[in-house]
Amino acid sequence: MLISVLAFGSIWTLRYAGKARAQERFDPRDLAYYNTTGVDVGGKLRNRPRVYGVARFNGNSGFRPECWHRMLYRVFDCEPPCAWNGHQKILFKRLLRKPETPDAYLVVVNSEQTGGVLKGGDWLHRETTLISFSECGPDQEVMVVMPAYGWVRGVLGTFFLEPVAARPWEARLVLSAAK
Amino acid sequence: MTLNIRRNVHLVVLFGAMAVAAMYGQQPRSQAGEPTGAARRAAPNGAPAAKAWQSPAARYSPLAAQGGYRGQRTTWYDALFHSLNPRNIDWGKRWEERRAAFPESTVANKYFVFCAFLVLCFYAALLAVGWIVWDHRKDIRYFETELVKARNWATYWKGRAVEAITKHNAHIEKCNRVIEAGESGLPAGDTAEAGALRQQVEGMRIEVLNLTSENRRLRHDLEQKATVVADLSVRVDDATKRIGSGNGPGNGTKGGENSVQVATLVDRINRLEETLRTVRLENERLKGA
Repeated sequence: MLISVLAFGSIWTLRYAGKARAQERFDPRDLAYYNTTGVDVGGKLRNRPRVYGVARFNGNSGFRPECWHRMLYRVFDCEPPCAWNGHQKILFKRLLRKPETPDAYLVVVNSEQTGGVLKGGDWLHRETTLISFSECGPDQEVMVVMPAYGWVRGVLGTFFLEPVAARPWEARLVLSAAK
Repeated sequence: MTLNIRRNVHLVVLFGAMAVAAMYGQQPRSQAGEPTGAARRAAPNGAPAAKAWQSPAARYSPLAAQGGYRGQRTTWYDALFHSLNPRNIDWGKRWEERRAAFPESTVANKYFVFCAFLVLCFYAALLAVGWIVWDHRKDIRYFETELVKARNWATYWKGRAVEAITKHNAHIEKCNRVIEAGESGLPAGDTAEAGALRQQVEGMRIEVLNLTSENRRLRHDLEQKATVVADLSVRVDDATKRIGSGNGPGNGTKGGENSVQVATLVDRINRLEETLRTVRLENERLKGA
């Protein structure tokens, strides 16, 4: 499954598989970076999960945390989203050298964009997978894996994910008038 | 008369027995320790009489050697008083001494006054603490009672409030239904039915959104296919022009092959156009939905 990254969540965590090993054997390829959503609570980012889930980027996948902005609009070869150990998880295995038309997009939506998602009823496209959802008061942040032309309903209206025709690995949420 | 004499005799015998008992009760003490006052008084006088008629017990008993109690000349009331006050203490004198010492050791003694004051203070403090504890318990009991009352009242009023809110909500819901129906006064429809309808509308709205999404995706696919078809059309036109320009003299065999290729291409174009038409029709159908 090919997934293009449009945005990242606010919270990053790091896990080193060979932590018990000697320091001289440190290998960044053993690292795993976990990304999830978070909201600002009293000046600090907190998870406050409604739905907890993570996007995992392996250290050997070609992901570069020090220049994460270069990872935007890049296509990864991924495992399909699954529920693991009680929470949603998606594994980004390998960064493609050349971008291809993706099957879905990793989208992060916050309440500043949509005015907050509507609680109660369906607020997400049926083919979209919710990975993580953080909420504290009016602040919300949602991480989803959404196919092209998927939608998310917010207070401001319904947002459709429309890919750019010339570069299908890029897409943006477009507000459409609700019919 | 005879009866009176007998009664007197009995009394005398009784007193005599008491006196003898009292004397015998004093005997070991007088033998073991210091002689009593009566004995001291009787001893000098009793010595000559004892010598006169000695009993067999005088060989081993000094009292018997002195003539026994008879030789002491002790009266029965002396023996009785002696039994009551064996140590011969002068109680009157002692009482006077104590009475004289009492003011000196109490009122005149400042340490006694201080200690008495301290003891009084201690008892007063004890009483005060006891009273405070008792009063505190009384307060606690009072507050507990009031708390239970308040809880009971809170539960009661909470229930009443919920009841009132439920009634109010039901009423407002009915009013809303009336307003929505544009009627006046009479309730229109059932609330549950309205809720179900609302849910149905919401479901339809979601369905519309999904169809819109599908529609947009299909439109995108259609545009891509249209681009491909246009590209193919251009290439077919080019090929047709090339074939047309190549049908000169001496190209008979090649001309026949070219005509077959052209027919194949035309077939292919027709199929693609058919596909395009089908996709357009599907798109129109979805738009209509």
